[in-house]
Amino acid sequence: MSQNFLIIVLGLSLGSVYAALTMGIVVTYQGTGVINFAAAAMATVPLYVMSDLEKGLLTVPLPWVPSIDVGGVPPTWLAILLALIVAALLGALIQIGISRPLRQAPVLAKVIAAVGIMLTLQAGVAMKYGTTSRSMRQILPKGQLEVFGTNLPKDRVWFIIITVILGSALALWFRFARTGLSIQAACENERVATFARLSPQTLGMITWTLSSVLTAFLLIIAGPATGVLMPASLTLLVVPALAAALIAQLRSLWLALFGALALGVLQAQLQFHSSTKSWWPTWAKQGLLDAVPFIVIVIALFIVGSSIPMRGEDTNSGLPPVMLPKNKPLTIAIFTVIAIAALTFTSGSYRFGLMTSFAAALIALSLVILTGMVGQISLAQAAFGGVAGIMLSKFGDGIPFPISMLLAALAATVLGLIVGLPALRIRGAQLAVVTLAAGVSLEKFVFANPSFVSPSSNKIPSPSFLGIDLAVRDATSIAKLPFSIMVFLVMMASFVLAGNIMRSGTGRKMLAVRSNERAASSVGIQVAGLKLMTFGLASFIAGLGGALIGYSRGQLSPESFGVFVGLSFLAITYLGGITSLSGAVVAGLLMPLGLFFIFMDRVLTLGKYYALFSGVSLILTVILNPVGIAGKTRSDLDKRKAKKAAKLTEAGGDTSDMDDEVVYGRDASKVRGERAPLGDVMLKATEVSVSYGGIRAVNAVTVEVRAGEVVGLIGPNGAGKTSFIDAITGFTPATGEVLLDSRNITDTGAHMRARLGLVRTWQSVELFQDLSILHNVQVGTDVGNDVWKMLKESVRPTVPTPEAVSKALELMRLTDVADKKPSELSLGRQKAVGVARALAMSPKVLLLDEPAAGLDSEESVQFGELLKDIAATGIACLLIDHDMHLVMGVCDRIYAIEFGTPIADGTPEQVRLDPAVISAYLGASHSETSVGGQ
Amino acid sequence: MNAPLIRTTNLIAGYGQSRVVRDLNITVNAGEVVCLLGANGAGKSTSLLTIAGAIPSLGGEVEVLGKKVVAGHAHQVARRGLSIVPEGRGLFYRLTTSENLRLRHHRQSTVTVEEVLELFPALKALMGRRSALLSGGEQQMLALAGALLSDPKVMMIDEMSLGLAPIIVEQLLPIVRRIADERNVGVLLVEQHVSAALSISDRGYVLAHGTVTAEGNAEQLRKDAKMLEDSYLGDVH
Repeated sequence: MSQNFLIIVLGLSLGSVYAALTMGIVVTYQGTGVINFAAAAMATVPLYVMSDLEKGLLTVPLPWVPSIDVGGVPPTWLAILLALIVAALLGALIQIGISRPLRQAPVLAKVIAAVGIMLTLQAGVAMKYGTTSRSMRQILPKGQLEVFGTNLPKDRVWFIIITVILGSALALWFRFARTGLSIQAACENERVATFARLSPQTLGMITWTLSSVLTAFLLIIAGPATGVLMPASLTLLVVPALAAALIAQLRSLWLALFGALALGVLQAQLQFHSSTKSWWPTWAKQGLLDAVPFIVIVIALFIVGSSIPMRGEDTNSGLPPVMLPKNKPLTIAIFTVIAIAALTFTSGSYRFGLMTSFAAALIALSLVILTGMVGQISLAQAAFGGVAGIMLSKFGDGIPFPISMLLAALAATVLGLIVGLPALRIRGAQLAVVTLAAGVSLEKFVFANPSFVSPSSNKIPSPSFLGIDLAVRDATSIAKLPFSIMVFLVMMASFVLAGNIMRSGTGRKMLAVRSNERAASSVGIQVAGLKLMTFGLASFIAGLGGALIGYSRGQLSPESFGVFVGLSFLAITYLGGITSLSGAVVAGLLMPLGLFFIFMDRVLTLGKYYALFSGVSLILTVILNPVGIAGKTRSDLDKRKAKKAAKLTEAGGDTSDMDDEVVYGRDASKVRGERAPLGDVMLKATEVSVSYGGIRAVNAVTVEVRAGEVVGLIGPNGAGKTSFIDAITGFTPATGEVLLDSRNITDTGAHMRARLGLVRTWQSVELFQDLSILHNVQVGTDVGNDVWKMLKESVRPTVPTPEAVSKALELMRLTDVADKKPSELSLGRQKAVGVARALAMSPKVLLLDEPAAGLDSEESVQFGELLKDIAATGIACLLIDHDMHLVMGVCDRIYAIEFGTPIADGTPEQVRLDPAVISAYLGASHSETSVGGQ
Repeated sequence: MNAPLIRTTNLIAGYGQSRVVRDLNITVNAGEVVCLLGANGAGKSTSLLTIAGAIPSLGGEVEVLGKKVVAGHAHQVARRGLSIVPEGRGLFYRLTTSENLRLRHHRQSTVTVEEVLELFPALKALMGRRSALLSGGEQQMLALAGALLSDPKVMMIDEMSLGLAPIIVEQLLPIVRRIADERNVGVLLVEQHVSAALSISDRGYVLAHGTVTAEGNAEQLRKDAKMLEDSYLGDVH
């Protein structure tokens, strides 16, 4: 009993350390929307300032500023004060230099920036203060305290008490003080907060400095309870803290405080039982504690995460446009010749660097596919590579070369799929947390665990293939030519195959998911399956890279695949250009131990600055040049080309589509064919109701549409029209019955309804900005995420344009702009693309949600003609629009609803003159005077 | 002193490529209620957000209380004396009624919470309730009360009637009129419900497809019922 009590107190003390970080993370997130991966790294700075003060030195944490001898050890209170001033200044600096410029930036950019801060501080602190571990200064009184007959360490008990008191004070301040309320308000809705006279910059400044000072203060007084002072291990304290922050949903400070305490207690209990119980398996001892946060995070996210983002949520990845590879044979040949020549004419460490660059380019490629193409962040790609390396050493000589490498990569794939599972429920920043935790638990629980990886002998046998010796080194060379060429060929083949996938149907679907998950789902893409498949593909490629790195080292070194290496990989890939194959190649050259690294080390003797360089350049890339080096070069080249072209055509007329006078390429007044007679009932939605939290948005609405008919659904703003469409397309839970061509689809999922022929367009123009017009339309047609299909496409990426697609483009008069990007078209034609995309899915029923919003009256008239053309092909159309001229002009019948309830239906004339309708739109008294006056 | 509180000059408003409103020229003076009418999608809300400095204008100029509005500095425009009740009511739904009011009140304000609650007595019993749990009408009252508490010189109210039963709208609109009369506040009222809005307005503008198709004093606009109906519901072909 008494021992258990002691363990609980030790757990609470550990939990208090987490709480110090977790509460800082929650406050920062509330004030700025940044998930602060650098929370612990930031705290190391004041801790080191404290530590140096103990030696009588004041070391300002800036490069090139020497330490000042303050002549003796300052009193404790002064040392703490100085350290906290440093913490406050650091927080302020991050707000001004990084957080403020990125205030409007998407989640992804904020995550990347926070990771950049983490890397920079970790590397910077290591350089400034050294990496040898120091013990922390004891601030609180030492000694024993007897409680209920148990001797407890006095300082720990005090630390817990102070943490709980300060944490509670913070939570109360947050709940009741005006500033605390303001931060919460700004987090909920920043725009409204500005209307309430609150300045986001001021709030950002308050939160960054407050959280930095709070965390620093608690960790300083924790002293030895925090652990030893070492840049890397302290920085990683952020992982359990992030786990607790996610439990608190990044919102509740009470949950943050007590969740962190509970996590500490859980870890202490596990620690105690795993080391004292004889039945505890040996393999589950080492690194167990580091695996706990990962498991906690996954469970927490499964409980709070949600799968499809709801309306109004920001889904923009904010990534720069993807440069799709063309895989021209000539380009491949030239690149191959240059690479092989470079390998042949270099030797020693430069060849080794080049070869390492090629292997590392594969890990960069895995990030290009996962993050660049699909918008999912992974901080664990290095760890997947490491798993492949471990497998190679496990296989030993038992499995011959190419098979062993592929099997090792497959093992990485399996792991990638497991880590990718949470991505089905969550996105963006949260996924970064999951993968970071996964990377840490792999490093500590697997790589550093003697039961899995023996610390002494992890030899990876030299490969050989068809009698060719592919050993990496012999007595004369550290990187032999045949091995280096093999590495290059594996890389080249992977790039070509992956490039093919990127420009194939699967690649289009990836980009569609990146652009807009909700719209992707609406065109029949199974978003979850596609994400998982991409995770598998990316981890396979990372596994290949890891296997090659393993071969090149001759034996597995877990530190090649540690967490910070993984972070560097992401940083360097971002720097190279995360949205293009060439970016991955550039990144490979820049990678740790790659060619650039060797150059920096040998020629500039700056190798030790490498980590710092990668962190700083990551931050700068996010803020200044998100397309990366490769993207910048490409766009500069494009600009130069465009300039030349402009000079050539200066005499000619304006060729841009934007100013086209005829919006639809054909004169809209041209005589149309006769309307076909109406067919069978295609859509029958009966008594559909939708409730949001007790409010009935749609109340027993019944709608029927026949083949070839255009039916309108009108009602004032907020009447429930979009909710009705959401309901019958399966995007929102509803009651009632939906029949599509007499088939009951009431319980069918959203993407399946789309496949069966119930296709919708979206209120805002939800085009995929990263795809051309043709591909925007085509993406809806190649449905199904088939791994087999993807493999086929890696060899044969291009297929002829399906007939439905060209027909849809033709019907919407878009054939002439098929190669352009949506942003190059006028709004009217963008709207037409949205409709064409729906048409390409060969719908039986087409649901048009405000297709004409934002069009001027002329465009709207032309758009109406297009709708008539669509109906003439026998499609049943349900049109929602506020443009009454359009609705009255094209519809055969109209339903009107108000407050979610049907108020009228009939022909346009009947509905137009219905007093209930007039009153719904113009107000009750108006309909009286108006009707009376007529 | 006679300069308008809000003046837009050839304002073009919208998002990215989409020019929702073109060449908008409106003014709002102290003590008058001006309504901006038009069917949904006509660009009313976009205009308000642009005037408030929440989204950048695509052309033309906005002046609020004599100074040019710079996009991205909405809090400064608010501090100058513009109060907006935006679409969606602009409440902090995770906070209670009293917390919402507290955040709106500031040191320079000459209006007290008690005074505001006299205008909206129904809120008195709901001070501790989270605003997400209020009814639509109560939320709208809270939004108006909050806007008033910041002691504005000019107010913009977007779609007050949205989702509200007509009887509640009939209670709220006269309060808007009172605010303009008693505190000499200029009000720009965006409404779908034409007759209700015109009944308390001095002047009005009618927007259709992003341009002003009619303007004048409220009485004139009210008489032209056919024009209004057509601009909302279209004319039957």
